[in-house]
Amino acid sequence: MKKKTLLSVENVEHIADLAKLTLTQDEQKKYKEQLRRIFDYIDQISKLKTKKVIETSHPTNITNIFREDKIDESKILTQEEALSNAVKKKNGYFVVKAIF
Amino acid sequence: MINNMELTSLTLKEALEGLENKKFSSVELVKSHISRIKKFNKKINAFVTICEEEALKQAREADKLIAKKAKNALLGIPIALKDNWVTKGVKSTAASKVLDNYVPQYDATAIVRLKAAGAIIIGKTNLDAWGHGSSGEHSDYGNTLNPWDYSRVTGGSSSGSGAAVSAGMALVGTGTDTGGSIRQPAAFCNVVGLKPTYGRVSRYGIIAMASSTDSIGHLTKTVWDSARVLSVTAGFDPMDATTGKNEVPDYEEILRGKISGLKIGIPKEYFGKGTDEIVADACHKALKVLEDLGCKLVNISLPHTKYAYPVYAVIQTSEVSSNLLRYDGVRYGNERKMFGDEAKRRIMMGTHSLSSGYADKYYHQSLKGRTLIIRDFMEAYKKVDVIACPVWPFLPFKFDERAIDPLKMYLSDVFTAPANVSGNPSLSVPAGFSRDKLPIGIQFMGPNYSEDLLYKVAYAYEQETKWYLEKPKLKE
Repeated sequence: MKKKTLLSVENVEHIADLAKLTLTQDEQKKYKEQLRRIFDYIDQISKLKTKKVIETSHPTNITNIFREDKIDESKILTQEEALSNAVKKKNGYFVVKAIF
Repeated sequence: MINNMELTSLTLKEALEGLENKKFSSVELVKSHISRIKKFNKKINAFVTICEEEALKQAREADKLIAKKAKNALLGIPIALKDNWVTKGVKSTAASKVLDNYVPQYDATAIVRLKAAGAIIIGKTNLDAWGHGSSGEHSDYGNTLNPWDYSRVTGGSSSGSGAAVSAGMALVGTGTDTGGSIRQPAAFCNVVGLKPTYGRVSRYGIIAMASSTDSIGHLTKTVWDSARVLSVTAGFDPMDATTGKNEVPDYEEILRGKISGLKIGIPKEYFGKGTDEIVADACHKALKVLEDLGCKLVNISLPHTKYAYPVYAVIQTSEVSSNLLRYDGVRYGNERKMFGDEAKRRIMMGTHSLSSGYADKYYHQSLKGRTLIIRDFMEAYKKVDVIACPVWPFLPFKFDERAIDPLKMYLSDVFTAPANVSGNPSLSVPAGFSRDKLPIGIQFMGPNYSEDLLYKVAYAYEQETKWYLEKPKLKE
């Protein structure tokens, strides 16, 4: 019999926590069910024979792209521009929630 | 004086010739497209933003340049940009409420190049939010309706660009193709859609979905039109380290070349029992046309095809989860609770695939699987010059038909995602209609940086069939 993917509500809570998402209880239930089905399907990749196969993270194999360590002034935003989309700002700074 | 209707049914090539020969002005061309948008967009919902005032200002400037005999590649041409293309001073939402109020401070490199070539931006088009979807049904700003049948999807995620070009609302619509998002709406809307080689067009300023498969392309009425736009957008960009330094060929010259003797591979895995007979028949008919033009048809196999979608799903969602983590509502945009259902599901899938205890099983195994899929293609290209296959396994479907089941929707990408996994270019071109007048597309895939070859094959086919002359009959 095919082994089914097991995902508990705790797993879903853990994933949401890692992803910085706040889910309702209904969403937790829904995603638990949907993720289980989707990963059941994805699990077929375990049949791929990959023992001696190297990983590809980038499809055109370009390596070591360097640039001069120089500032391109045409790409710099002014402080005003950088803050133009911020919801909260003060004295030219972004305002964020306290971390501690 | 040519009337509005005639101006909006022109191809890009015809419009450029008309402007040059003073048959009409850029102002007339832009006005006719904007009036068509105003007439039909309420129903079709292809545009999320219309830039009327600025476009008309640009058109007046273009007319002055045309009078001085300037010859920029897209001078005076109204184009529409997918709303995940970041535009300076124009709201860029990616069709997500997270970016509902985002007004970028800069232009994407591809936009800088299009503007420098004289193109005029008439608006921003709808999409599945963040590019997450194959049907256009995941936009936070509502569905885009298929101009050929309002009860059916346009295909996604570049849904608005597909509908806009098909319905004569813009001469060019830009797109992004991460797993099929340009080719899918192209096939369902009877237009040409190019997914270039990964790195052929800069990703700088394009809102990232899956960084290792995102390909920046466009939808046009004809193959020549597509080649003209690529000749503007393609090329190395110091702002995107993954762009290739390969020279940009003269696509327009090459596409007129002879195709006799070319070998076209037909992968058996794409014509199996999962493929609708009507779609397979249309593709076989198209292949027969190419055979009559002197191409050699060769049966091939891409043995890892069935793993391409699950491998893609893991890589794509992993990169989605990482890319979408930057949205914190501090520097721009709204809080993370504004993410829609589909974005949340993909973030959850990707985070799970990357998480401790699962990364080897999912993420790393998929990166190895990706190597095997690339090898399949490389082996095939030793035997054939290009590969031809359907874009979709089925015809344009009705709203909600697949959206209710995420897995069913994801499997819509089985024929398009492989080219994103391999990085290879793929061109979707119209291949006829079903009996109910629903468009069908065929795609031509080739080795990296073979866009010129794909254009040559597609152009020869298009000259024989001219499916682009068929237009949808729009209702208000």
